[in-house]
Amino acid sequence: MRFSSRVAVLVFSLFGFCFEASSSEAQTPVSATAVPTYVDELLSRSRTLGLADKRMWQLLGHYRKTWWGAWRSQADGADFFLAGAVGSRDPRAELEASLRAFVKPASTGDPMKPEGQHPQCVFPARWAWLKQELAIDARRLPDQPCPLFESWRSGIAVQAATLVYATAFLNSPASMYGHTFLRLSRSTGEGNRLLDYAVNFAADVDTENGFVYALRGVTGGFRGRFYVVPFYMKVQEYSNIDSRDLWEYELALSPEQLNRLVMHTWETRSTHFNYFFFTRNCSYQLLSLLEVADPKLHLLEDVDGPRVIPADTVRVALKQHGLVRAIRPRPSLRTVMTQRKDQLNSPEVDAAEAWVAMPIGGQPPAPGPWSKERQAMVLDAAADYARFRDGVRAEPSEDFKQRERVLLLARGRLGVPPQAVVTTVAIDAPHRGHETLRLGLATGISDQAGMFQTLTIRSAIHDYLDPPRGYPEDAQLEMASVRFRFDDDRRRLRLDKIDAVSILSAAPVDRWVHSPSWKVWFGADNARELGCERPESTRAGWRCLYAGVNAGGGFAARLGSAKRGLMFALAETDVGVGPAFAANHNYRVGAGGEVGLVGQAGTRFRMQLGGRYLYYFLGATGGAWRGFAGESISLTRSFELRFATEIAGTYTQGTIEILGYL
Amino acid sequence: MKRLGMLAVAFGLTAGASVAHAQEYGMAGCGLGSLIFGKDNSVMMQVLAATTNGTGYQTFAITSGTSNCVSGGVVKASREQAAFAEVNFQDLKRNMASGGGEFLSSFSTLLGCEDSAKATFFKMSQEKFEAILPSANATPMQLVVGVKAQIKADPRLVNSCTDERAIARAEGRAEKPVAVALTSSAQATK
Repeated sequence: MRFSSRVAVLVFSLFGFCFEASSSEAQTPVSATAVPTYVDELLSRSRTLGLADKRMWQLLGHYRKTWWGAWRSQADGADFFLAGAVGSRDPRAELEASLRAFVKPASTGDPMKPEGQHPQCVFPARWAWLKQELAIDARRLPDQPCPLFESWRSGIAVQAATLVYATAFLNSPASMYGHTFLRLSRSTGEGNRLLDYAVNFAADVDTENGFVYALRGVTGGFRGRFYVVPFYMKVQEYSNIDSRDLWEYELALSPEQLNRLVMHTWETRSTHFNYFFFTRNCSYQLLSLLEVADPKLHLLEDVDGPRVIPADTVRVALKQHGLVRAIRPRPSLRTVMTQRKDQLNSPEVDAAEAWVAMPIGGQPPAPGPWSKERQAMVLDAAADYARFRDGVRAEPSEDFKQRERVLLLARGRLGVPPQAVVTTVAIDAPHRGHETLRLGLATGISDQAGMFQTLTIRSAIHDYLDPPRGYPEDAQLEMASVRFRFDDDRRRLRLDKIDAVSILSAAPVDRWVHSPSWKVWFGADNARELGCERPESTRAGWRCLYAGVNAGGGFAARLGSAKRGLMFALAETDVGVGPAFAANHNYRVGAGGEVGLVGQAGTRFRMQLGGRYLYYFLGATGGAWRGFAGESISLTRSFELRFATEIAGTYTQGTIEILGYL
Repeated sequence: MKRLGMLAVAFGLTAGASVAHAQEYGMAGCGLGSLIFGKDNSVMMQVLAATTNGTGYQTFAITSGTSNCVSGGVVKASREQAAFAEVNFQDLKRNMASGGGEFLSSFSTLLGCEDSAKATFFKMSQEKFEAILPSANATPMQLVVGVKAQIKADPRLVNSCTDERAIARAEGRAEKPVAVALTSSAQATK
């Protein structure tokens, strides 16, 4: 027997009752002449009812109005349109082509093969909606059997849908934008979330080259699709491999809405959506799925813009009245491990480390003088640690397997049930975070140039002085931030600073988690340490500017008993090009270091101190140092007051700034 | 997708098709575990990913195609136990050793255990850990086969964790009538 037919036999017999139900309908005799007349009737009724103008149809076709008012589908695969290419621009033509396709006689191909599918089986959500809207008579236009779709749908057995947000990987600001996907609860119950399915919109990335990746990602060069995978694979990916905590937002969707969501997810298998990292990304397309489920939701309108940040989409979902009915976290392996370690005293931590470092084939460490319960806690922490260190690879090493076995056998022999661990996730829920776009207005005074005002627009996303809730505590990531400055005395508007990308990823030293701290910056700045703000300077204004790149690495530590302080020290190199440097050089290259201290008091006050010294040995040579001291006070959730003093060489300025998060 | 565990394919495709063959239910591998891999987390890749909003690319090669285990991302009913054990092998082992946990709990659901039997199943997994997984290189399929053998040998579990219930659950059939029917028949035989 051929493989595919065996699969067919298997699934047919497993889902026999579904198949029989739909096939008996298919056997209803239909006269060849009756069908066309009925189609004409349906077509004319669809025009009278204006079905192509209904929101549901627009959502099913992913039609969006262009800026010049025409319809355009965001689905980029040709097979999604039964009317051909015109279907992507004309909702009505597509609706009528769909109706015509749905009356076609049953396919003769293998019903378990994707290529042998009847249009009703390829577009079950369209078919269901048209049946309902047109009150289609099942005797005149019968349902076709769709065993492939039905077996897929009954495997998912959807009961509820949950929006899942993956927080940042603690030492990877790249992940600070987050990620979202859906978890579809299954009939196996909420106690078995691992057995659910996840719906994930993802790009098919077929390059290992980072620059190609970036370029194609920004320009829509990758194809995105909805993928259904067992939820436990997502848990492995995020909780174990990436160490990212998850936040779950359970959605209040009715069975009918859930069914439509699943049917439409199936429909998208016939297409792809060009993936734009900034705009039409995972989170954007996930919202389009939710709108199909419940057309009363208007989610995309709220996020449409120059960039769609996953955390923003969570906040948009929460703004919909009654849509989110429960919120809960799922801590990552690393979070649980850290908490297990924190429950141990110092000799116990030593003991756990001894287990993980135990020589292969040697004697396992002697049990400590503790109760069986405490020993179990030591072994559980050790097992987490071993896993975190070596166990998340595709092929765990032989040493790891041997150690793990000795450890687990010892744990099993204790005969003690799992020991409770307090599980609070490391990163707060994203919906409690400040909004992404930040505007700032400041007034300031400098010792060399008098009073001035600044306006700052920051596209994304977070720095150390911003309200910390909902963001990782140890990292800052700023992108596309521009500051303009108006000097009162000289009545001159000029560019003050551009942070194209500014990342500082501090990874505090930890006994069990070792990651480097690093930073990278590129943008444009003023070289005020060169004295260009002085009244007599010939390089004032735009001639003080340079474009630069800065990168460095070092270490960081958490300070204080509550670990609320963060300090970091980084060595760095710096390259700048621009009119700021002396006449015969237009550049400078240097190296040096930066130290910083960040602290917070309560939930409202934060402060930051920092200093940086660079010695430039090429181009415009010489030493340059800068200092920064800042304090911020949260006024409301959306407003912050910030005081800052900046020093660059002999130049000093102080500012008071009001910041709004929109 | 790579068809690993081909040896077991013939076994698995006929198994699960009917309750009559339930003793072989779930005894075929998928090779899904091999799809779990680490991502490129180099600093360079991170910086680039940060600047391009690196949110979401497909890590696992479970495509929309049809393989012998997965169809459109949905694991076939007869392969659910094996697929789960393969992907979550390490977590399962650790839950077994510590006598409970989310992974072992979900696995017991896939094995057709009643909720009331879970505590007993957890205890059994801990006690029989070494028998189920005889060496450091024991495979996920050994785990599935071993656990099922232990269930059969355990009078407390043999009627509480049944393939019939597992099949019903995997097919998304209504849980309650099945559970009630099985419970009453189990009680009747006592």
